[in-house]
Amino acid sequence: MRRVWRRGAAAIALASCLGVGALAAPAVAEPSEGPGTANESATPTESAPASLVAKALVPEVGVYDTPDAPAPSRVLTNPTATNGELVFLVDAVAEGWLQVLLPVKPNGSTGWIRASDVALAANPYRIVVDLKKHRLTVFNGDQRVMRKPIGIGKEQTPTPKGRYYITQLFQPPNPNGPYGPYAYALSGYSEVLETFKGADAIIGIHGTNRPDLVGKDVSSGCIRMRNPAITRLASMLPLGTPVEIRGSPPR
Amino acid sequence: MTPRLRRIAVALGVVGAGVGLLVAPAGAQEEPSGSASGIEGLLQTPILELNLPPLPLIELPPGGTNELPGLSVPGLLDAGLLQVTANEAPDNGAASTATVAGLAVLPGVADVTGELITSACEATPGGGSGDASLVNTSVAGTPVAVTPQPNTSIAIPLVGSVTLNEQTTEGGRTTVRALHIEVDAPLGVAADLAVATSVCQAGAAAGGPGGPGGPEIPVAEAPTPTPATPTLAG
Repeated sequence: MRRVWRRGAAAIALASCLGVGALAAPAVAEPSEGPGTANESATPTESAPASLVAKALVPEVGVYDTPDAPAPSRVLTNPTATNGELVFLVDAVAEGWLQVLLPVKPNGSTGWIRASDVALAANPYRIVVDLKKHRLTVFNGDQRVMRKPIGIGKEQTPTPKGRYYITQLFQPPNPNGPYGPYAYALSGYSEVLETFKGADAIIGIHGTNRPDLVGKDVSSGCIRMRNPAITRLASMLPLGTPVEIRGSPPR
Repeated sequence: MTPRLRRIAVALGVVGAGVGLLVAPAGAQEEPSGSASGIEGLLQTPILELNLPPLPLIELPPGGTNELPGLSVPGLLDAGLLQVTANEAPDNGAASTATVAGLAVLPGVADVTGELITSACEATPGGGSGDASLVNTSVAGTPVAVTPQPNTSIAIPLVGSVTLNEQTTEGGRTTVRALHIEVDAPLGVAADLAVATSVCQAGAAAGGPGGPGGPEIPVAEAPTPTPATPTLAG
């Protein structure tokens, strides 16, 4: 029987068996926000583990429905169509195989890839996006290192809730344009737009040339931050950083 | 690497034995280390070439504090009190600070002045960080931000450049120079000076690299951005 390490409860059980202590799942509860917590000082929060990032080492990575499947159900190219590194967020590890979150439709798709096709790295960072509060919070392990207001999708083009990860960091040639100086592509897609300006309607986190609209429901699904904040993130967050989008904006 | 990361590595090392991708990070070491210095580098004129050692200097181990009441190379460099610290920090980490007061470098050439210039770094087995503070600081007569973004470069036409809050990480070692003054001016005036330098490198987490705890995996780092306009649902 194949032995599998998983995020969350299974990992706790496994770690316990190994005598190495508990591996908690990435927490979904945020600490309460008290006075002054809008600043960027590190604040202790609930315990959370690092995630695992898998970076492709080969030009094509086969994705299998199960490790026992005779053939891949799809093949992803490396580098990607947008000239980025192909990366995955690892959900589970088995002997020679990794179950990963995929940067494909539908949102939340997972599959199995060969461990020999990728290099693994640990990532202590994660992002929590609260649509209700129009707020993005960055954690480094147990520490909250940033909390910023954001603009999110309009009612007609909402930002999709779910669990995603950062797939690519862009530096637009015009830092004063609509995407600001930096833009992250996420593994998720708009659930109402099939395409956006002729391309896949990929959800992103980026800067803006309309900082006055931060805090409002204004986008086609992307998450907008003020430019100093996205600039700070650009030198901080690895590819593969988990992004949990939750809550519902008040309409 | 934090204990939590190490636990994941241990779990992977056992369960994912077939993965074969677990490697110790370069530069992993047992004990934390670091250093801090006020001013160091090269000053050169047609009649003088001065290689300044780190003044003052403190190193970890053993760590502690050091200071100089002032430093003066008439017409080229003046500084008031210079204070440096380097100490162990919790979780086998390291923390260093360097402060230079009343700085004036190459007046009339680069014309770098500052009332209080500070750098600081911290390192734990999970990673390092640093920052710099430049109070009432000017480059070529132009005031600069008190807390500039890392690696902010200011060009001085025909003279050289000054990097503010210069940060480098290599092999787990974080180095912050509050000011890095590089001058190659006409008439043979040159300088390569680091002002307020802090260096930090954490030791291994208990049972971590080199210890008895088992395999490790590297820690992911921020990527180099793709220079392109993204196609996102903006």
